[in-house]
Amino acid sequence: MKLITRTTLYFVAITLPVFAVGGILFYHSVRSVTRSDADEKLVNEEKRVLGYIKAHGDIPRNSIAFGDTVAFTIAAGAPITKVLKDTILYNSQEKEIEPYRMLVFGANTGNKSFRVIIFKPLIETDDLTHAILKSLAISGAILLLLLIVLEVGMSKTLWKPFYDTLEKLKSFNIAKGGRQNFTKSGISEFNVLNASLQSLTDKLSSDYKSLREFTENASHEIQTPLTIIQSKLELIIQSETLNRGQTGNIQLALESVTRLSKLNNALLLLTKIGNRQFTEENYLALDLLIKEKLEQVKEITEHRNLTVQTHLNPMKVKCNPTLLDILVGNLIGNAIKHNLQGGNIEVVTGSDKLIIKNTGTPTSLKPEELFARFKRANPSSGSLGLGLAIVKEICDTYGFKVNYDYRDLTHCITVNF
Amino acid sequence: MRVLVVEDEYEIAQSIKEYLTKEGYTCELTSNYLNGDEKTQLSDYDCILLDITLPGGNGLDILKQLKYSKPDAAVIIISARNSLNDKVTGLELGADDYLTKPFHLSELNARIKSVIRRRNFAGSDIISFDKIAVDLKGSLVKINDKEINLTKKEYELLIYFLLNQNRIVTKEAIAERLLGEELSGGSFDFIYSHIKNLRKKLMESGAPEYIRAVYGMGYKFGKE
Repeated sequence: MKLITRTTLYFVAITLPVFAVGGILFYHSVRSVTRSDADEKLVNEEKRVLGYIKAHGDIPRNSIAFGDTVAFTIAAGAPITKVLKDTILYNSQEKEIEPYRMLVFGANTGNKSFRVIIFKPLIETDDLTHAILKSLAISGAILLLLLIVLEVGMSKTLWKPFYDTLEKLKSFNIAKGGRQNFTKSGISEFNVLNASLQSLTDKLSSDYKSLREFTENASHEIQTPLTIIQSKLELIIQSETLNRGQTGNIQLALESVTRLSKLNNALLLLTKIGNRQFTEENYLALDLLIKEKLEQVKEITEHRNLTVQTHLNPMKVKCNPTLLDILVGNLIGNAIKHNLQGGNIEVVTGSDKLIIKNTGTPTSLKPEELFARFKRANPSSGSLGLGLAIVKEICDTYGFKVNYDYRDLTHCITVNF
Repeated sequence: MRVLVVEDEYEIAQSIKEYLTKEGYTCELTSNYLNGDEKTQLSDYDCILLDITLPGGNGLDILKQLKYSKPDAAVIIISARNSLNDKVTGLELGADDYLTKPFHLSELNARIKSVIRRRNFAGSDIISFDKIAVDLKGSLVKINDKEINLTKKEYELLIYFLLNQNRIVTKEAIAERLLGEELSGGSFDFIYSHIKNLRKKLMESGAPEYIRAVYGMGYKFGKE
């Protein structure tokens, strides 16, 4: 929900009880005002009636002259006390009961005693409630309409810089680089926010860039000493005078150097993919590439008695040739390495998908760990734990989706292009 | 045979020189752009090993000028930059091969020999060793003039051994040669079984034991 919608809702929520209380108050004050007004008029009429009686010595024959219903009844006995009270009368024309204010008092024409009752109609409760509700509803609707207009107007003008900033933040991609420019607005809070975000994203970008540069430079610098170590060790082993213990140690050193240089190459590759240094892009026939790769590893799969099944429908993938080659190579290499003796490999292409399945024991890694760097089920296996990380990095760079699934003793990796 | 090494890292150049000298090559070293440019222009070499990042310039420029004046020169680029662009540019400019650091000296040796062989024996591509004769063009292997059947990988393995005779070739170097980057990590059982098969096939056709395992390090191919 938008911030401004929520504030409007809160405003409406507060307005409703205020309207209700106001309506009740209004109702009661209108009623009490009309009542006291009626009382005043009744007392006036009493005076006029008494004045008439005094002047004429008789009760008026035509009570209409006094405007309201005046009833005279002959009263006997006890003197009549003056009473002002509410009453209800049945209106035969409208066929409903209506509220009245009633004044009862005594009058003497000399020989006769009268009991006089004057009725004055009050406003009907229904009518009053109706009128109040109607006016409240109309003013409420106007208020709401104005609020909505205000909301739309505010989000278009007042909050616009904020939404601009949000858009820029959303499109900020650290790996893609490029500076995000947060523009100035007339509102100081937004300017503070934008300035903070500007320095934050600038710092992030420059840190990220220098980290990547460092990784790449470090990898390059490491190549030279690695080459020296490896070549010197290879020269040493050519010597005829080495004893068994020495060759054992040199062998271990050689293995480690090989591992280190592979590690370095893989890290360098990851950095280069991340830095988008593979700029060339072509439409490449994935099915043909897979055929070629499988042909290259044919003797290895035969050596491990692996059955390779393929369902290769022609499909083109837009990618850098080197990276697609690495992607396919790593996935097929994985399917061979993590297979069982005499197992199966199944490769399927078509409808923008590459599926590589291979038999194998379940991995102790969670599916999301499988693509993480340096994660491997068996750390002593000699594998670097970077093969699938490279696959993931390539997929992320080109917006491919890669998924892992394990079912019925089969590892299944799917790439959606 | 004369080989020129244009490489700014002295120790790397020294290692190359030491290995190649034992192979019977005469090695000359130079460590910067200007000297490299000058030497390649003034003398003729059987093979030139060229680093790309050099003090004073880019190795690719040396290659460009060299190919302009001597189109037939054999050049192998050795570079720390495992960059496809450099590789493509290098090969387009006329380099014969491209090797990324760190490399195995046995691999470098094999590549140099292949390059020189391609130049010098354009007609008949035959490597002979004792009772073995390999026709590189037809990928035929004969022992005592009798043809034997090798798989593709066994054939590659034999060629690699023939190019590195009497040297210890590490199993890492063999793995990289036969399997490439993606598959060479991990177990060596594929290598072991291929060497076993190759050895068996050679012995069955009457060849003596050429391949000897040297402790855990690797293998040495040669006559006793």
